[in-house]
Formats: sequence, C-alpha cells, structure tokens
Amino acid sequence: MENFITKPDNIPWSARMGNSRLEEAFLPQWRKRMLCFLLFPFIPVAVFFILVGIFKVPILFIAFIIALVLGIFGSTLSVYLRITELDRISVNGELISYTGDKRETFLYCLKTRLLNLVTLGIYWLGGFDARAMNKARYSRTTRTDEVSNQKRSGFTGKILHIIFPKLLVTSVPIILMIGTHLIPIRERSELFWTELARAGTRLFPPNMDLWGLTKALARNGVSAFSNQHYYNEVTTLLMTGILVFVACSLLIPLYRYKMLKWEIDGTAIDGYQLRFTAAYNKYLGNVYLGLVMIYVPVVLIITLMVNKAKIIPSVYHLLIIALYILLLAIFGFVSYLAAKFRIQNTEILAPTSRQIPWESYMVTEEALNLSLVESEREVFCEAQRRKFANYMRRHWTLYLLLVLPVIYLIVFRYVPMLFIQIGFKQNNIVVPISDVSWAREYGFGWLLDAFKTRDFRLALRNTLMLNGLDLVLGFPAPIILAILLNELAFKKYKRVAQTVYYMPNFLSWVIISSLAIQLFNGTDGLINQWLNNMGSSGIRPFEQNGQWVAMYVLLGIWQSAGWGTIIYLAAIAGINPEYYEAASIDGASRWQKIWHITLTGLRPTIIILLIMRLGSIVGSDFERPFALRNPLITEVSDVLSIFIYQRGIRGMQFPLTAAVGIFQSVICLIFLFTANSLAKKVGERGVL
Amino acid sequence: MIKSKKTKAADYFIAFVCFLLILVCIIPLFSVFARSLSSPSALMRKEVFLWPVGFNLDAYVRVLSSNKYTWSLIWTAMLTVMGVILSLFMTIILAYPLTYDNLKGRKFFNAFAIFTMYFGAGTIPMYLLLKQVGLLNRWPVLVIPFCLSVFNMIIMRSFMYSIPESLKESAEIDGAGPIRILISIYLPLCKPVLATLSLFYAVGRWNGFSDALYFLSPAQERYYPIQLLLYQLIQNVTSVDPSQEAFTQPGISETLQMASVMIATIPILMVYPFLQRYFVTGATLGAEKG
Repeated sequence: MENFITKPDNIPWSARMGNSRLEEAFLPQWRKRMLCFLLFPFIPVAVFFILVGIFKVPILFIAFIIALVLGIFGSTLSVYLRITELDRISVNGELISYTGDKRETFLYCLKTRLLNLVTLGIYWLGGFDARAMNKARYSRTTRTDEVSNQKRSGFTGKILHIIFPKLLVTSVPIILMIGTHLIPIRERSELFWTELARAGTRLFPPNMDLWGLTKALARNGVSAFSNQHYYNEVTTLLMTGILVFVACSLLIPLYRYKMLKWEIDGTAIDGYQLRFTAAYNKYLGNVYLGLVMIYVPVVLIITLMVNKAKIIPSVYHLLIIALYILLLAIFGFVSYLAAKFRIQNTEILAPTSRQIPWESYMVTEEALNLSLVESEREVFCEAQRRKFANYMRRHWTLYLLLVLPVIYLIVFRYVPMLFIQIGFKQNNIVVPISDVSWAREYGFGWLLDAFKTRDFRLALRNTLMLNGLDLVLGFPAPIILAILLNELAFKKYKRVAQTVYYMPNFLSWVIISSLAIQLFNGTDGLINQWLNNMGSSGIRPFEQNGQWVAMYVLLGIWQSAGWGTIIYLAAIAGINPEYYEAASIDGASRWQKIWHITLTGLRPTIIILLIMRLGSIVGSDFERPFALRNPLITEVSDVLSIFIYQRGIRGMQFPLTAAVGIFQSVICLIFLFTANSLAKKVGERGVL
Repeated sequence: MIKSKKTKAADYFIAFVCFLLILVCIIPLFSVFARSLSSPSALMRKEVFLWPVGFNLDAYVRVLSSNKYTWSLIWTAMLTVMGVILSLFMTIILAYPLTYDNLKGRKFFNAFAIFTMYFGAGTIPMYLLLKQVGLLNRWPVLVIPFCLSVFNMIIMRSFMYSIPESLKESAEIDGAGPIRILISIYLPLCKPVLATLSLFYAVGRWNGFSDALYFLSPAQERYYPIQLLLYQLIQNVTSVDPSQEAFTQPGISETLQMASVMIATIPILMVYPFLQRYFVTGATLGAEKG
C-alpha cells in the first residue's frame, strides 16, 4: 500500500476531471505504448524468419542468436517499461507512479519472458524434425524416406509417429502457459504481483502466449507442408491448433477474470473493476477467437493447395511466413486498438447511485486507483471510438469490395516478383529456389552470359533501334494528324475521317501482317504489281533488312497514329478559343496560330506521352514484331521479347531469360524516372 | 468571321490530304476484301487490284464450313464474353472504393495497384507462377491472369470521380450503403465508360494471341484463340482443317486466307464506329494523371 501516494478523498471524482488535464496525463503514454509494442520480441523474430526464409544458410545462426538476445532483452524491457513507466498517471493533480523495487521487477519480467521463450522453443523443436526430413529428401536419401513412410503408414503408425508426438509437443506449452498465468494468482497477496497482474491486463493482456502459439502453429504448418510426406499431418496439426486456440481464447480471459476477482474479492466497490475486466476480457476473447477462426482455415487451404500443386516450397514458405507475420501484426494492432477502446465496455457508474461508506475505498485504495484511471480514459476515448465505429460501419463493404482485386494483384502481379530471384540463382530445378545458391558474379552471371551471346546483343540493338525509330518517326505522327484534323473546316467530313483513322487500331497485328503481305509481297503484292506495271523491279520488305525496318515503322504509324489523335484532339479542344480569335484579329497566319497556340497548348500532353514512351524504350511489344517477322530477316526483327520467348518459353532457359526480363524492367523504370524528373525540372507536370 | 479566298483554298487542300489518308487507311483492308471475293484463277493471273474479279463467295463458305475455324471463332467469342464480364467486374470493384476520398488506406491501395503498371516481373516469372499454380496449359489461363488492367481501372476511376459527390451524399442520407450506391447510382451513370472498357477489353481479347502462344502448348490447340490460328495459317504452319488440302494450294489458299482474315476482322469493324462517342472520352480519361 505504501507504494502508492494517493488520497482519493474527494468523491465523486468523475465530476472533477477536466479534459485538458486528462489529455496531458494521457497522451504521452501512447508513445510509450508504441515503444513497448516495437520492443516486443516479435519484430526481431519476424526479421529472423524472413532472413531464414530467404537465405536458409547456417551463418544466420548468428543472426538467430542476436535476434534471440534482442528478443529477450526487448520484451523484458517492454514489460518492464509497461509496469514502471506507462501506468504513471495523474489523478486529481497528483502523480501516481509505480515505486516497487526496480531490480526485482526487472528480474520478474525476465523470468516471464524466458518462460514464454521456452514454450516457443519447444514448438520450434517440433518443427525441426520436419525440416530435417525435408533436407534428407532433397539430398536424395530416398531409402530413409521409404522407411519412414512405412513407419508412418497405417493407423497405429500414424498415431505413434505423427499424432502422438505432435500432441505431446502441443500439450507441453499449454501446461507451461497456464503455469505462467498461475504464478500471479498464487502470489497475489503481494502488491508486486497484483501490480503485475494489473499491468498484464493493460496492453497485451491474455494474448502473450497466444502469440507464441500462433507462431508455433504456423511454424509447424510451414515445416510440415514443406515435406510432402507430412501431408495428412498438417491437417492433424491444424485441427489440434484450432482446439488449442479455442481453448486458450476462452480460458485465459476466464483466468484473468477470476484472478482479478480474487484481488478485490470481498471489498469490491460497486463493480467498477470487475465490470471493466469482465467486459474487456470477453471482448478480447471474442476478437481472438474470430481471428484464429479466420487464420487457421487460410493456412489450411494454402497448405493443401500447395501440396496439391507441388509449388516450390520455399517461395510459399516466404508467403506463409509473411502471411502470419502480417496476421501477428494484425493481432498486435487489434490488441492495441482494444486496449485503446476497451474502456467503453465499462459503464461509468456514478458513485451517487449507491452510497458507499468511505472506509471501503480506504480498504481497496489500489483497486480504486485502477478504476479511477480507467474511467478517466474512458471519457477521453469515447468520442474517438465512436468515430471509428461509425466509420467502419459505413465503409466495411468498401474493404470487402477491395479484397478480390487485391488478392488478384498479389497473386498475379506481386508473387511473380518473387520468381525474379531465379534470374540471379544457379540453375537448379530440383531444389526449391530459395535453397539454391547465388549465381556467379554476385548473382549477375546470367545477365553477363546473356551479354556474351550474339543473339542477345542483336535483340538489344534491334529493340533500341526499332523503338528509337518509332519514337523519332512515330511519336510526332499523331500530333501532326491531330493538327491536320483540327484545321479541317468541314465538320461532318472531319467526323467520318476520324472514324476511319481509328480503324487500324482495332486490327490485330496478325491481320495487319496479312495485309502487309498482300500489299508488299515480293511477287504478287499489290504495290509490287503496280510497280512492275510501271517497269520497276519492286520492293522486297520481307526479304531485305532495311526495307523490313521501314515497313515495321510505317505499319506502326499506320496502326496507331489515328488512335493517338484522340488525346491530342481532346487537349486541343481544351484550348481557349479566345486565343485563336485574338490571334486572327492581330493578323496571325494559319501557321503562326498552329505554332504559337495549338502546339503550345499541346505541350503538357506531349510531355506526358513522351515520358511514357521513353519509359518503354527498351520494353518491347511482342505481337507486332512476332507477327511481322519471318526467317529471312531475323537479324533485325528479333527483339528482346522474342528473345525471351524463344530462349525462355521454348528453350526452357529460365534463369537467363528471367535475368534479361528483369534487366528490361529495371532499365524501363530508370528511363521513366529520369524522363519524369527531367520533365519536372523543366517545369512540366510529369506522370509520377 | 470573314474568310479570304486564300484560306479557303488551303481548307480544300487539307481536306484533300485527309482524303488521301483515308484511302491509306482503307485500301489495304479493301484489297484483302477484294481478294477474298475473287476467284482463285484471277488471283493466280494477278488481275485483282481493288475490285473482285470473278466474284464468288466460295472462300467464305469453305472457311465457315471448316470445323476448326468455326470452333475457334465461337471459342474466341466465348472467351471474349467471359473475359469482358470478369474484367469489368474486377475493374469496378477496384475502382469504386478508390473514389471514396475518406477511405482509410486509399492512398496505399492506389499505390499498390499503380506500382504494378510501372514495374512488372516479366514473362518468365509469370510463366513459372502459372506453372506452379497449375494454370499452365489450361484454358483459364486466357481469362484469369490478365483479367484486370490497372490502366483501365484508372480510366474507370477518373470517370467515377467526375460524378458529382452530392449524388452520393444524398443517397447516403437516404440510408444507402456503398454497394447500394454503386448499383443504383454509379453503374447507371457509368454506362459510357463501361461501354468503352468493354470495347477495350473485348478488342484486347479478340486481337491478342501472345498469352496463348506463351502459356498453351500445341497439345492445347483446340483452345487457341482465332488470332493464333490465323497466325499459323498465314505462316503456313498448319492448314485450318487437315481434311481441307485447299489451304495449302496456291491461289485457292490465298482466297481462303483472305476470307479467314476478313471474318476475324468484321466483328470488331462492325462494332467500333457505334462506340466511338464513348471510347473517345474513355481514351482521354486514361491520359489524365494516374
């Protein structure tokens, strides 16, 4: 009792709380809470998982040790901070702070953290078994595999070798966990423990060990599915996991509730403390249950999908790990929010509703402080909470709509980026990609190889040449055409002309290629028939390199110039007609008007489109050159996309072509950014 | 405005240039059309220029009676319909929430989508992914992996932005939720942009062949879209129908090819002039900032 300096002598206090003072006392603490959250061991552990997932090399054992030490230290510090610093709050202008023995407190924190770690460690050991099996499989000790398969087959075999060990591994931490939670109850008579229990309910109340369990479950899930012999086991494991989670979600709040009930038992004042605790624990319990119910099936589905599709495990290791780290973060966030908003579940009962003799407050001085603090926060948070709930009630359907596109983008746009690493690793299709060591030259071996081949150098040259010509000749074409159309005086005729000009854009390159054959073919093409009649020998664009390039560029202009005018015409329509009138009055000629008004007005549009065009200077269209090419002129027609198609998809040289692809993407990105920043420097708007 | 005689002459000159350009656009297609309607012997004698010689519809009849070709037409039409529906659905449900200015995380989702427009993993990683998820060499590969175009999403979003906010607000006051607002207010007002995007997606699907070339093996030939079949036909890789030797005979083969090309082109040429009013706005919206 002497640890606290407080005299709750003026009642009712709720009436005397000013908001400004409340904020003063309250706000700085959020920063500390965030610090505690960051110090919590999950961040180092998460970093470790990611590193292991990516590299899987023994040197990371050191990283593991560092992460472990950091984790222990960080989490101890976080709990310690929570007890000593965070719960300092002013009531009635007086500061209540924790004044217990600092060393003792720290040691206690360390003890609980270590206990937590032991539970985690046991889970990891459970996972290592599967990982060892996995390794054995890849080093092709198939015999051991067969033996172990035989041992595992059959009902008894399954029970003995799969279900029982896992159950054992699952049950031990539960016992340990319950033990951890029992300690404060046993020693509740001491103020220190009571204080700890109080602190424990503050930020991450009953979830401490649930987090460990979550991680352990996912860890086991990962290691189990990475070995395909563990197929059925995954299901067993996950079912166990579900049971454990449900049990924990229900039991732990109950324990907490009971514990706090004991603390204040007999001297409870009007249910302040109990009401808040019970409501809060129920709330959190439900939240966890809900999250777990979502999380477990997701892991299950992914696992089964993975097993069925024989996905390279390591990539999905990463995915799963990322997924559950994400979920951990969500857990943390939810618990943070819950801590922030929980107090709304407590009803502020005005003390006047039932007169309580002053003595009862004296007896439960400490409990009183608690409820006092909580009700203060409650008032403060009420408005914020209501705002948030209101927002979510209005907007949750929008998030629901976003789910599907976001999943699509992740799966078909972001996950392929994980496969990029294949371009920097040695060629090995037996082992999962993350286990493969880096290719030569710090991973750039494939790219250097590509540069050594003549095909690639030719493809790069052709890409640059064709895109460069397109840029120089093809880019101005729609501008000129748009100005021409704009100058056209006959409106109906203009509309018809536009419709016709748009037409080539709707033709596929296969069809354009067949048109080109009909027009330019060496013997019976339309142009050549005509030229032959004139006595000329005709042209051979399908046989001669130079003529093919000219045809390629011209067909590009033919196809896209009309379509390109749309944007420019819209921009011209946006130019203020008063400019033209003023210019006519001043006697400007048609050319002067085009030059000084139209082109100036078009400048922003031109710049933006130019940036986009530069951004794809080494990017290459596939269908256009592919449809137009033939074996005679491959020396100029084979661009990078065709190189990737032939070497990669037809020739199965995946690492080489993936490296080329990423080279292309990166160069494009660099060009885009450079062009964009240049445009901005000159004073234009840019695209990014 | 008083116009001098000189400027009028210039106007006629511009009109003449535009007319020449119209010819440039039309003649190639028209010559193919003429050849497809000509008799093979006239073609062999190099008599056909811009007008069919020995007019007949044999080639069209023969192409359309080829099972392989008609199946491919029907199949591509089915793919196009499926693709357009799926793509429009995805585009709408991505674009619509992003029009809510007060949506928390809007900037993140926006950046999340737009980043993929500027940086892609490339063909090979996509190929490996499709292999891993088991889509490779199955026909859904032509529909699912490319069903959402972020660029088109931006067009959609820009259009939705132009719908007055007050409509949304009044509906909210009446108690409508976001989905209700989308269905009852936004979608009816979005008809022009829906038409545009349908056209873009449909043309993309109808004209595209690289995805089939990449991700379908020759064993899956029955799922080839029409353009890939045409490509093979033009490159003389295969005949449309193994039973119809005519596809490899000179003269006859040419009219048949031309007829095939025309049949694959006509659907789009029939549709696009009617949608012109819409796609002009659509294409303009796309040029606005992403």
